[in-house]
Amino acid sequence: MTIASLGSLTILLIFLMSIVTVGLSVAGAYRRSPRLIEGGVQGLYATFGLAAFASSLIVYAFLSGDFSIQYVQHTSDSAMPLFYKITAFWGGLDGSLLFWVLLHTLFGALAVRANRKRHRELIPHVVAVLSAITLFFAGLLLFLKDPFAPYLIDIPTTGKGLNPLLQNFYMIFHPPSLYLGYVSLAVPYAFGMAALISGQVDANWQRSVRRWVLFSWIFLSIGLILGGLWAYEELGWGGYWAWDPVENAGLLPWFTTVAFLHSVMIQERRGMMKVWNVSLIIISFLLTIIGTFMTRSGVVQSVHAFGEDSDLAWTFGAFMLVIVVFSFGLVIWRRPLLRARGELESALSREFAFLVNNWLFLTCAVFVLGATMWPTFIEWMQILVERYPNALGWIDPGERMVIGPPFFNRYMRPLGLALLLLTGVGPLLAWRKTTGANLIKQFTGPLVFGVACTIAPVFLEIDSPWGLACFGLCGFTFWTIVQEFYRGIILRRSRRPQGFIEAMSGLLLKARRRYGGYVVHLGIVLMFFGWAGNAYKIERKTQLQPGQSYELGAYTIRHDGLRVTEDWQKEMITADLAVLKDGEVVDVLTPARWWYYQLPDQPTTEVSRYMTAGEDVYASMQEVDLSTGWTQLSLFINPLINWIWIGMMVMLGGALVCVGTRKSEGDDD
Amino acid sequence: MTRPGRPALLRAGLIIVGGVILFVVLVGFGGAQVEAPTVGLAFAGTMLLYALRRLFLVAAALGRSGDVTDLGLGRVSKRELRDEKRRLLRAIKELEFDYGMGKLSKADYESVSSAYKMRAIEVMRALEGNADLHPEVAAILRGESPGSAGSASAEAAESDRGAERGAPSAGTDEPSAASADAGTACPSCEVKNDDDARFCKHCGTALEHA
Repeated sequence: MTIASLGSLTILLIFLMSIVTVGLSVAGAYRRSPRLIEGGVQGLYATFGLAAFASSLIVYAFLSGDFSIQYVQHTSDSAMPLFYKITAFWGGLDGSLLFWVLLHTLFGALAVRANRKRHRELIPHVVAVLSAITLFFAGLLLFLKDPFAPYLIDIPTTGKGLNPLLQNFYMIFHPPSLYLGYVSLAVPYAFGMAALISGQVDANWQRSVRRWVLFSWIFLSIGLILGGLWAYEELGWGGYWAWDPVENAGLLPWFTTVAFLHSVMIQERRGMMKVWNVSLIIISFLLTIIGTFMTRSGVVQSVHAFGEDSDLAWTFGAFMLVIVVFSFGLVIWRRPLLRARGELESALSREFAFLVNNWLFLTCAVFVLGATMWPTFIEWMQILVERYPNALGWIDPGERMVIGPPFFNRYMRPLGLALLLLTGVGPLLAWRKTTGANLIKQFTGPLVFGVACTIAPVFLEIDSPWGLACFGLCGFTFWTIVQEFYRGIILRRSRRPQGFIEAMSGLLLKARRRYGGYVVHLGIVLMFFGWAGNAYKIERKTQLQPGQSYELGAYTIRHDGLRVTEDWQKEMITADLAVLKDGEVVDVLTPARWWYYQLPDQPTTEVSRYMTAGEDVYASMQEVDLSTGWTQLSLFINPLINWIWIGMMVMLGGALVCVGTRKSEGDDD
Repeated sequence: MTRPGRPALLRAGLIIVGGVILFVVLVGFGGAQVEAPTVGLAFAGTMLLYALRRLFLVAAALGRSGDVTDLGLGRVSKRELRDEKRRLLRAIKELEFDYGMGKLSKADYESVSSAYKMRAIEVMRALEGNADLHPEVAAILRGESPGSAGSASAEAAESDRGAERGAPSAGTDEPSAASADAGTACPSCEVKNDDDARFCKHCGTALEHA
């Protein structure tokens, strides 16, 4: 038996096992039979075992260079380093779907295992929902995209190799990290659905999924930022975020999970917004499926979508429809149980701030989704109008247009700043109602500091209104966080004399969720600070010959010559650019173009940058003429950009503090 | 039935450590030529074994004679239990309030609240330090819970009677142990309680003092 047929057989088994598991769990839940329920749980574990087996088979095929399997032949070659051979597993469409199934079943098994005692009533429903999702993806693998599909005739002896653009450090971790974020959102969804089906819609199920959502959110964040770093270092256009549909696909569930993490606190505290929270979980999950749909089916044009496939598009469309009908059907059915207990008492309360935060995040998600899908909608309309001219002839869908970064920036900038403002205001407000005296006490410090931060940059000749607003809001929010920490520390020290550091770590450890959250906010502030640098970034395109110099802001760039080198994989042309500040060389940049022998017509751009805390000097090489030495360069000064990555680190640190919350500590916020 | 817990993890860990040691010995002392594909194949084999074992466990779970009601709470800390108890009681209260306000249908209320109540009793019992539930108590609790009129609860009661037959030995020795102490007998489950107890420690029924 070949690896290919063994693999296909395993996928068939995964498919069948999912059907069996769904059947057992539904029957077990309906008849309340522990025997059937136990069978279902074991079935879920078995599905994971099978998925792990199938995945290790394909990894084995990559390692041993089994080019009789089409997928292996398409995405690898025998000369690739070992590490890339393993990661080629998720380098293409078919394999990434199998990877999806693997992660999904793994998370399902872990979640069920962790919660089967604690939430016994929910478990059969959770297992059924999770297995139904497995069933869908296993079906895709089985009927549409079999990663084990072999070459029947003319078996090639060499592979085509992985796209060199993807042979990058960040690219190894970026897709799996986004995947982890995506796939793990199925667990909260399954718990939410189970809570609805069983009618146990108290805050209990959310306590068990809150950490999962946080986990998903962390991995989505890591994935997004690694994607940004990859774009910044590999694509050579000087930026990190271009509102590419695939990037947006990762951003969408990020928005809704942030919204959920905030609004779940209102439900815990006040018993409000139950429908909303369940809906956010459903929407987040739906958005992960939409994201997969956008990246995998190729309906949306993008740098890294996997090519067009209409079968896949229709299948995903049907699946999404089923999710919507099923989930919201359940919500409507259980609406009587989901009534709110409290009411909003004042617009000056933290509940209201959370509510506004939720609206804004949802607006962001809807806007980004709409703008991303709009060109595709237009195209679908065109197809429909062409096909049914009689019925739809009166519609003029217009041309398929490209919605570019400026459009996104124009609307997302104010939304982002509004969210930053809320980040500052929210923690200052009390639950239920904030009194006037309180307001003054809480807001004086942050407001003064915020105004100072708005005015100070003017003296540095920064006059962009967006930039100034961003600096001001960063200052405001930063001060609120400092104030919260300061007051907490004072309080602790007044109770028991202790050192400053001790009091602070005590705060972080005792009220992890609250202060961890503030650390996350601090990271956000730093990231906004980094984004504000965009307001005065410098971008130049120029042609230089060796020996010539170019003035770039406060720096001088001097072309010191070209080098041509090669290794066993590629040919490289590297330019040496000296970076001078005040007449002294501070660094030598080495932007390059690499021609992989495998793909000689797709040279890659290797960026080089000089990093400081204040700014990046960033150079990439566009064209080069070896005979004359003319080098076409893109030169950038990106102020404050490194604060984005630093902010990201801080944010992840804060998130880890939050994840460490013990279950019983949930009320300390 | 396997109960996934530390022993299972320990076993898995031991198998992995054993595999690694075997690998090191083979490469270091046996001079074996181990290449990446070999490792991949070994890993695939391990995964196959795991999958087969799980498939077997599905069959084993289904092939068990009779339903054994597993009401144990496993390894859950006291603190967590207290927390859950508080939450459950609150949930029951809220549910009753909603029902009183006419927001819920009777059937909905009964099925959901009986599930909560069962759970609450289990949790309280686990807090008392009794790991498993007296089968008769379980049957009575489910049978006499307010949901007995609803169809779902009737079905539950039915399956519980099955459960009772399946696990007669699980708790028969418990009441006899309890009866050794002097005290008030609970009218519904006949468990002996402390003299000053106001509620039964097994089933929560209010105790009448003479």
